[in-house]
Amino acid sequence: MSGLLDGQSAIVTGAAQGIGAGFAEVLAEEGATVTLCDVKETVLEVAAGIRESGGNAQAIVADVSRREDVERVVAAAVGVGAGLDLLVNNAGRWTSSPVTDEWEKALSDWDLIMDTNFKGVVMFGRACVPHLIARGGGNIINISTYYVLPARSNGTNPAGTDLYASSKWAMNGLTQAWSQKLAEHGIRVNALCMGATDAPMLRNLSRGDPDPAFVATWMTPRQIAGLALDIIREGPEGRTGENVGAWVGVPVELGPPKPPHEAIAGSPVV
Amino acid sequence: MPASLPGQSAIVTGAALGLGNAFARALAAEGANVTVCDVREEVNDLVPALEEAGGSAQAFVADVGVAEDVRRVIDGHVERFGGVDVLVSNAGVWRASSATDDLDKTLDDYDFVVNTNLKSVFMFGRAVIPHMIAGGGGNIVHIASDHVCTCGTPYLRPHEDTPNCPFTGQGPRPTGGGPDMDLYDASKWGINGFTIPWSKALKEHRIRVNGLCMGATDSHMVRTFHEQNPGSGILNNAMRAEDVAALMIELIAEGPEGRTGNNINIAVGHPIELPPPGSPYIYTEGTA
Repeated sequence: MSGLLDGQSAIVTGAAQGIGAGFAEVLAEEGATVTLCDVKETVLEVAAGIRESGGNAQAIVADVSRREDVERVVAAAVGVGAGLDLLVNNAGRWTSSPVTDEWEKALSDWDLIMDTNFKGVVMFGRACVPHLIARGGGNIINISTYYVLPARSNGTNPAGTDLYASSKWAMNGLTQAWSQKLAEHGIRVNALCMGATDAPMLRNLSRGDPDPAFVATWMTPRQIAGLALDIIREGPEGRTGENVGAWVGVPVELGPPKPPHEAIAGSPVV
Repeated sequence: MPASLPGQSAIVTGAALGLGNAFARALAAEGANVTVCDVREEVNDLVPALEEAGGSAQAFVADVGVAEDVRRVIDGHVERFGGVDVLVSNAGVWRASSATDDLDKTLDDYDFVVNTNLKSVFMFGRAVIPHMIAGGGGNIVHIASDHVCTCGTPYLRPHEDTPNCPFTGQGPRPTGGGPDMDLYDASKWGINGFTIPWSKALKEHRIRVNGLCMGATDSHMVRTFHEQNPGSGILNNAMRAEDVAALMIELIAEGPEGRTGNNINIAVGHPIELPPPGSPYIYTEGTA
């Protein structure tokens, strides 16, 4: 069976679990050679599982907030895949950061969240772009949250997670500016802005014991990866610079491209 | 009109020039005791003008992206004035950066732009919040960018009556400042992560948090951009910092029951006025 991504090379950051692992599996099933990275060593097992299922995958234990690690992962992907076609910026951290925290905790939370969720995305983007340009085109998918769709932000953006929210809001600037800069190179940049998805980040929020009725409403990592495949399927003329939203209560589907003033800001809440 | 902030105290970052300078002067004219800071030593020259306008004033030469400097300004303010009623997180820088830059340049740009424009907002806010809670309330004003807005936020504003808006005739305005603004725009988008969650967390403490999303104002930053991009037309119709400062005073004067968690879009070619209180962004009311 031929896949959508036969002969292509992809990087998925934060692929030891959750959405990243789901992405890596789905991309490999579509024929891509996938380079997974994570700070967690269990990323090696995810890649081994993909290989056992007949896919092509390698895993690297790496911290996306460290420049040397970023460059090491990108070089490995380019080496094994003879280039690069797809970057999935998925690695992200979450921590509770109430405004009344002490000063020292505030400063260390900044480093913890921002260096991974924001600086890590910036560095991976920069390190991958020359290889995507050399290939004559490609896709960057940034994994965000529906907190950043301004049209939905009143009901999201909880009081106690300012840094997480800020790191994901910042991604809006990257997704939009990159899409404009890279259009002439055939590189499309889009973000997936998700509501509740079944992943350890969310399960940990429920102390590892979420209500099954609640879990039943969650989206799955494979559904999210499917959205990314639909974006890739659109081809070189497809949408770019868009925040694609998906949340509980609406069908997980791509929908038509949005007009420019709604591409990042999202559609008005009806 | 009587001064609206007698005996209150305010901190304005990035006050040597441009918007910050005008904010500090406007707060002083309303009777506030003002602490100003800037990386530029000229910030010291502002103190006599502030004291002439109203209350007491002091200046710090400080880098808002450096935690020790932030503490020095806040602690110095509290020591002198006893608390904090108003924080205007204004300090900001612009530098071109884009997806095709190399990593060396990018990491330098990241430290310069993100630390100055975003980490500063986080650190100054987190440092003053305990003092505002202790004081029973306050105002935090973030200076963001119209790049994170569509014209008319929180409503989509029609352009028929705004011939001077650069987006007139092009349909609703998209967000963003273009391909060479990635870190600048990201730093300004990131401010939403503080404006919105803080407004929720601090409502019970009568602390309001709002963002002014500024279009081109005749300032050092905009003049620098103009010099590097002479064809941009950015100085055409640029707003006056004094007019924006008057709007900020009006925002604070709404009092404890006033709007919070709002992004107020102040865009070139549109009236410099407070929109009806609303939520941060786009709603169906109004038309495209």
